[in-house]
Amino acid sequence: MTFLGIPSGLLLLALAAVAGVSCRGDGGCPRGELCECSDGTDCYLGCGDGDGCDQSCHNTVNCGAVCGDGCSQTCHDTTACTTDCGDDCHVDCHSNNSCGAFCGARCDYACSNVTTCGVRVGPASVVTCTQVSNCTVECNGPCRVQCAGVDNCDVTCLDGTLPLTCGGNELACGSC
Amino acid sequence: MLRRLSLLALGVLATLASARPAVAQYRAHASYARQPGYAFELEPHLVAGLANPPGPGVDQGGGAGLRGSIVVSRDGFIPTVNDSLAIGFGMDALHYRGAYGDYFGTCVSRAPGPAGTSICTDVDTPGGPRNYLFVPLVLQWNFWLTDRWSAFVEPGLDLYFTAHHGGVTPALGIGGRFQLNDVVSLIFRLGWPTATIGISFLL
Repeated sequence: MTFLGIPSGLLLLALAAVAGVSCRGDGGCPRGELCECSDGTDCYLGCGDGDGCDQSCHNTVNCGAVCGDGCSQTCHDTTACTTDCGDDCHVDCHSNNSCGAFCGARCDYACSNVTTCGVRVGPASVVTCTQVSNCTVECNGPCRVQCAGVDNCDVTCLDGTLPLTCGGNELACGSC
Repeated sequence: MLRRLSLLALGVLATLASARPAVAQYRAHASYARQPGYAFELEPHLVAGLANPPGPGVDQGGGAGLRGSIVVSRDGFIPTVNDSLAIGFGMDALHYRGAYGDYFGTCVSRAPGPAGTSICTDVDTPGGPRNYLFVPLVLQWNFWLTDRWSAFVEPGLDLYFTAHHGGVTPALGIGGRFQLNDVVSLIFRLGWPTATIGISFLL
């Protein structure tokens, strides 16, 4: 059988060469599935789908997770753990020497049992520091920071205003 | 090693291109009955990467590209065969989807964070999804089989560019054309790193 004089088998082979690329459903660190890295010296996790990754890193020297929006990240039992996340992220950094983060709007960041916690968050974010020697938070917009068992709770409002003391170990940029 | 291969392939290309005038003189009156009279071939096409690309990417990819081929001789290497030579060049953009299990990468960019922290802001993950740009440079050896069908072999090089990586790799393609008329053909090639299917304009 031919099509425009082309043997149909040859035509199908050529089309399959192009169509074959769409038959694979796999990707890198996938959205919605736990992507875990542990043991060893360095663990650095990206998000293959860009957004929506569930990343976990623990029991290493250095951990780093980079993700877009709507990500969930957990990091514990490391020397240095960092996070770079977009909007609507949930981050739990505990039992580390240091935690550092850039986090976007509506970030929910929990830092506990850590020597140094340094976090920069976007508007409408909540940061919780528990049993932390030095909790340093920079808020790029309205935010709330809760410090419990913290030696030094330092909140900076990047719009130049002074943070408000809201009671109950809570500081805020914008309003309480 | 890669650099040596690249230099060797470039040398072969240059030698093949420069060797043509003597053969052309020898066959000055050969019959070109099956060859369309064209000087340049323009070829927009869809591109598939059917196997792992060079560099850090893995798995298969797809995209689009453009190829141009300049005829350098209407005589090929075989005097008794209706063959011809062209130099092909172009650009192909592909997205490789990556594969499961290769999540872990290296931190390639950091920024100072609050409280003296150094925050990783970009992770290069081998095996993850990647965009590639290929720039092929090939010798196209054509065989004009019938009035409508022709085939070609394309040895050459591909420059490739992807995030944080780039290089040059040997390339090989085998393909064919089906002429719809004197100007327009359907064209396909199978090879590595890319396979294509598209439309050819013989100008």
